[in-house]
Amino acid sequence: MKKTVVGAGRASTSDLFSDLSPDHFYLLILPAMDIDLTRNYFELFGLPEGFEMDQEELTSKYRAFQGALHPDRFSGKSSQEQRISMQQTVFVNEAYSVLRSDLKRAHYLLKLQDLEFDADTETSRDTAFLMQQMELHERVAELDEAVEPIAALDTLASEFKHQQQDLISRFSSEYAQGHLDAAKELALKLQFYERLTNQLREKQEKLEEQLL
Amino acid sequence: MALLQISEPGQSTVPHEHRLAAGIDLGTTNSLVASVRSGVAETLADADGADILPSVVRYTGHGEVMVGATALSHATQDPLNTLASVKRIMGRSVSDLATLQGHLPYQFADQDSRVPQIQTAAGPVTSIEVSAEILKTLRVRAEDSLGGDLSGVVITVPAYFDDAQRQATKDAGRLAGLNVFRLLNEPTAAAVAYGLDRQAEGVTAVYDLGGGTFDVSVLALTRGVFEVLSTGGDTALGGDDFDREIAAWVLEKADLDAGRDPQLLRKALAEARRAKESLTHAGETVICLEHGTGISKEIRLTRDRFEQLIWPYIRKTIAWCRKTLREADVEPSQVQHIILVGGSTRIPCVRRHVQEFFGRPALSDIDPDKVVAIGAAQQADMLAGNGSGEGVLLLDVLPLSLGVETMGNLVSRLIERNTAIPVARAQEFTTFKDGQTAMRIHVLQGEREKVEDCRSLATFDLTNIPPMVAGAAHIKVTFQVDADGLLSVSAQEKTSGVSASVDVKPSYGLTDTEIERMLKDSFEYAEQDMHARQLAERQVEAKRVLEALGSALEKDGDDLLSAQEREIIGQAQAELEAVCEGEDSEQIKQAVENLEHTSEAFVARRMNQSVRRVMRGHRVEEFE
Repeated sequence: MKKTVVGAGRASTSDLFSDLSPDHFYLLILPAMDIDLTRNYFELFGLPEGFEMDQEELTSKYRAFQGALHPDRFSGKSSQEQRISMQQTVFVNEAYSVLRSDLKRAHYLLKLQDLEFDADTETSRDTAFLMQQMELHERVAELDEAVEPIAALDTLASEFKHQQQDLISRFSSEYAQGHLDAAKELALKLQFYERLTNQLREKQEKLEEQLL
Repeated sequence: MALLQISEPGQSTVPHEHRLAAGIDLGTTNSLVASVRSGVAETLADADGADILPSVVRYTGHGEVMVGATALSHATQDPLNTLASVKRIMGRSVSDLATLQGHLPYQFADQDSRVPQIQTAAGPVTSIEVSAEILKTLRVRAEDSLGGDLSGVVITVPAYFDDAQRQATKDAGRLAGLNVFRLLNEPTAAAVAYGLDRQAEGVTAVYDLGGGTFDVSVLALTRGVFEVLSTGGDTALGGDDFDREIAAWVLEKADLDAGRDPQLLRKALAEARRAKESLTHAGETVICLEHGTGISKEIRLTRDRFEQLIWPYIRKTIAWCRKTLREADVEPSQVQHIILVGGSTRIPCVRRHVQEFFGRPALSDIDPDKVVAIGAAQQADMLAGNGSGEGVLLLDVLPLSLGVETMGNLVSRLIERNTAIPVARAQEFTTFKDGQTAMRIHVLQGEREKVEDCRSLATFDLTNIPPMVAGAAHIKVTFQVDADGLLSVSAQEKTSGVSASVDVKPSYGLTDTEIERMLKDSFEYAEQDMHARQLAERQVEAKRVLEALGSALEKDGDDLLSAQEREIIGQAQAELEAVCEGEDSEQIKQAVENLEHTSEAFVARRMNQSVRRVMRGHRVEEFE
């Protein structure tokens, strides 16, 4: 038997449910809806397709779904019901995690418009923005030399958050006006902040560990 | 018992007999069992009136197994055969022991088994078998006091337990002859106990410092829904560490070396523990160490000194609290309730530091030793279908990220920690060489980048991949984590539609065959019993399925099924009815499977209908 080290592909959830029979999908359709729409998370939650999200409404619907579908509701039932309940809950969890996050929701909206992009290979071409990003990366790297690294980190984090928030509201308005290419450009830029924030978080954890 | 007992709000389901269920807190130092009786969850005591069962098992040379206080009383005199704190090695590999060995005074047997074995007078035993002895004792206690067989149990685990540790716990349950409804995270169990009894609402932090493990969970509590937002912890940090710290300090002060004297070490640890407990109320205590022939030394320990000794550990727990709040995107000031769990939260300076960090007083009015078992009993009662927990829902998260090994010895993360479970993610893999027909996937758990820094869970060999040029095959591997936090993997080659076979090799832990063998070896499950038990179980299951489907068909069969569909189901029903009283358990199993298969679409449609009903109900509420 031949064995090799495996190179990882890309994770996807879109085709996770392709093994299910139409009846499984039927489960998640609200009345008078077309079957293909089951893949649309907005339809699933009965929420308008757009960037603005009523988080309270989303959460309360999520809980209502879980109340009816969660595996705990099917303890002692047939293995078949347990399996279906599990698939349903997985699907609802996935949809909820996408809709509640600004970044994931933005990506998802673009995907619905066939504007999905590969964050690893595609990037913004805005040179001024890229220069600014390089600068920010340097500032993250320099944190170690700061006199009060944690305080410096907090300042930087709130700066990032501010800039990120600005991009998010611009995305929202461009998307609402149907300027999809402009929206995509903003999503590409948001990707940079996602990475910066992750770096910052890792650094923060490292600094805190050193304090122990 | 109706199929899909989803009922309209306010409309109760068909009444049925009360099924006996219990919650078990399988702790590092102590274990407890609790059950809901007449609507009240309470811990069950043994014949001597003791609720707490020390998690200690002693194996004698005559095949006798002692569990609990009797075993504990031999700890000093027979240290190598008296096993305590085995929870620390649950799900651990032989190589992990190097780091733990100094902390555990046992002798490990040298062998190639994946699961470490401890050498005892009764031969080598694994931590799973030792835990099963504790569980068996609790099972007998519960069945004696409840007066019947348990239909199932909920066993609690530290929230930060990884897949291997969870699997080991579930295996111990199976080995003890228990039907494990669910593994429940300890902090979630505590939140359930407070949420149900004290009707706590809002953002809640549970700080759980036990004998050997530390957990912190942040939950949102709203009208019976317990949603875990994030969880963190250290599965090797607890009150035992405090004992060891004191013991080391005392031995040094007394100028004694316990390196080659397990009895002295046990004695020092026992004295340290006593000192720790007395310092909860006293400002100082005296530790008396006897060694050699009647020589003894007395060392004075003040509370201040004690607090200095344990401060490094407490500081670590506070750092975890900070990190876990950040993951939940919650500020300390937004936390409305703090729940203290675990015996170590009785230590005044632990309470002080936790309350200081959150800036508010903590709840501990439910006995911190019992609260986890009580919460587990409440969930067990719910899962048994006794109707006590209508509307109560526990939504938990994956504690540690899951990933696979990629080139360069790196881990590619598939499912991030703190993702709501159950969850499934698919990843596509491709072949590396022309004509490659097999590949190996290495699954890891943890937050670090390098393979060697994460916990190896298993390797999966995918075979029977149709030969193609390199990169042409698309193998979709689905990783699924269930509500217990346990992982399963399946794989399919997409272009050819062939499902590649998956051969799972757990990095450690027992295989199904090993468990079956252990069950068979145990005299309680002599082979004949096994068969009889299996047949009886299948007959009951068959009747349950028939009854449930029958009533569901009566209710919705006309609306949801075509005449033809209904006829197919009817045939399968008749087939099962014909064999379900027979002696052939395999035949019954097949007929059940066949009926479930033919009625799958119907069950799915019913579930859909109920979901719609829920969503409609929800909307009405919204607009009112």
